[in-house]
Amino acid sequence: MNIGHLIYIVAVFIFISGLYMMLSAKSYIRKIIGLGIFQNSILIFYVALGKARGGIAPIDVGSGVIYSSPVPHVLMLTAIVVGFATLCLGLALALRIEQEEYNDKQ
Amino acid sequence: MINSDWPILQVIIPLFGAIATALCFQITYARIIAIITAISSLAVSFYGMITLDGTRRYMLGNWQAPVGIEYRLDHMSQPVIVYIFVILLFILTICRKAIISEIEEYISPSRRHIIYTMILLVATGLSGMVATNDLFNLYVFLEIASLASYALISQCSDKRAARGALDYLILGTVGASLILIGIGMLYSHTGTLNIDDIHERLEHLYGSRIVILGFAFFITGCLLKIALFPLHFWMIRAYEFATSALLIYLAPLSSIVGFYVLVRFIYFVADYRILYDQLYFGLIIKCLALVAIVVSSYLALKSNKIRSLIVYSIAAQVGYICLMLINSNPVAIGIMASCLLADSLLKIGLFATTSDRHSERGEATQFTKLLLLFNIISSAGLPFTIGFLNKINILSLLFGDKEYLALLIVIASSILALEYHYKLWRLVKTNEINNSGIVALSITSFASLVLLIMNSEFTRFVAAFFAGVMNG
Repeated sequence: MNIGHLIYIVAVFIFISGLYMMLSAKSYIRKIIGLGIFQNSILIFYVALGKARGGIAPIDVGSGVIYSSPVPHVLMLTAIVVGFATLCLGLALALRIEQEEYNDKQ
Repeated sequence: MINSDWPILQVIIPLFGAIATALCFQITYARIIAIITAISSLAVSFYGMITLDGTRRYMLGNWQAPVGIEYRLDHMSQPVIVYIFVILLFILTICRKAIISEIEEYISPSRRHIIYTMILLVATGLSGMVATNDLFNLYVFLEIASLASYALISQCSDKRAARGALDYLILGTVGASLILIGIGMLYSHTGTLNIDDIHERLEHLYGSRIVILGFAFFITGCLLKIALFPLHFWMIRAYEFATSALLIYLAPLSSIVGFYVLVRFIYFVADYRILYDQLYFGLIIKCLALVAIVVSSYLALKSNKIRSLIVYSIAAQVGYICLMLINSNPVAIGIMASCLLADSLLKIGLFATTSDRHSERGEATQFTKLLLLFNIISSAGLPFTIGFLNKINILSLLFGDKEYLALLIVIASSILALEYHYKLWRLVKTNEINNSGIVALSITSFASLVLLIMNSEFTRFVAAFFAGVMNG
């Protein structure tokens, strides 16, 4: 197996651990942490896609040089923002459920 | 400006309306701004539909297609966008009282205007998903629409709604992430995100396992979003306790746009012949759809509450629609469009009248009961209604294709449907139904009558469009 593919194995491992945590956890906070881990695996997957063999960082230093593709990184900037918003909304809902349970006990 | 820029205006107007409602801090102004936004975006999209001639491509910021983001409006996408804004205007005006009495009352006065922000953001996301011709842009709009709908679903007097919304958030995010992974895999082999460009470049790549895996991820994500059988649990939990005023808006539109994305992917991104004949996606979806029809009808029969009965009947409808979706006959797509439209009208009518949380409980008149009975009969698929016509079309198509097992299952589930709709009618009769949804119910009943009369023209129009698409 090509050593360059190791990063994809890592991404799949993180993906599966996040999914398992999300689906098996009882507490909502843990589910949301699992969701965060799950989404980060996709970021790793995309960023790894942009790497070209022997390519350098996409900075213009003249002709005859191979660059890694910057497009997946830019796409993932958007995905990070989306993931952040999802986590915030999830935590807000968890907080609300918690408060309502607390009020019921009182 | 409207002449050249309407493709982007119809997506941007609701977005700016959302920002304006968030900033105005006054519930009265927020309502007015929301209605103005809905009217103006409807006007722009309607203008676009009338003047549309063939396919209209719009380059964002004049960046040419494979590099920049492109919007693509044709005779399939533009009517869907118009329908989105019609429903938006419908709930903002006709179901205004329901929104006020069911949601606004339960939110602290300083934050009430945010409801309208969320409603407009859902419209932005959905119209953007329909308009865009770029896969990553589609994902971003999908997340905009989904995040706003999670927030809306959680706003309810019933405490269980927040739990349903959190489950919806978790499974919805899984679905969107699967779609994102699928897009990434297709991107890794084609190097482009533009749908037409991907379609061209994929021609020689169907042997690649990564591409097939990408299809599998994307389609699984879409099936989760439209709630086909084993992936339907979020819908049951989220819709069971959500406010009916919002379900009028969210339930029909999210399923229509979900199916739109699936159709777009199967027929525009991938080659549907290879997808169905060589990769067995059609067979898998067909099996799931048949199981969905049987199981959902059975569960609907077992449930004792009006809301869960309606939700399970939606799940059964998703099965029927999927059965038509994977049939590569253009006529089947026409029947699918008619089913989707009829189903969305029925849902609106049922959700508008069967709400149990209205503050003003007017005694239901005979007229309301009659209209409700008409809707339930149509949903059950009894004669002289649109539901009956759709079912007959489905059966004759399956008979023509010699799909006898599917035929048998559809007939069996139709008998179950009669039984659970009878149960629904009894439940509706014993519970207090009220008059507050009467205007909405009359309009949707009238619209489904129009659809019944115009049905053959409608299905023929959609089928002709798809015949053109399928022949390249």
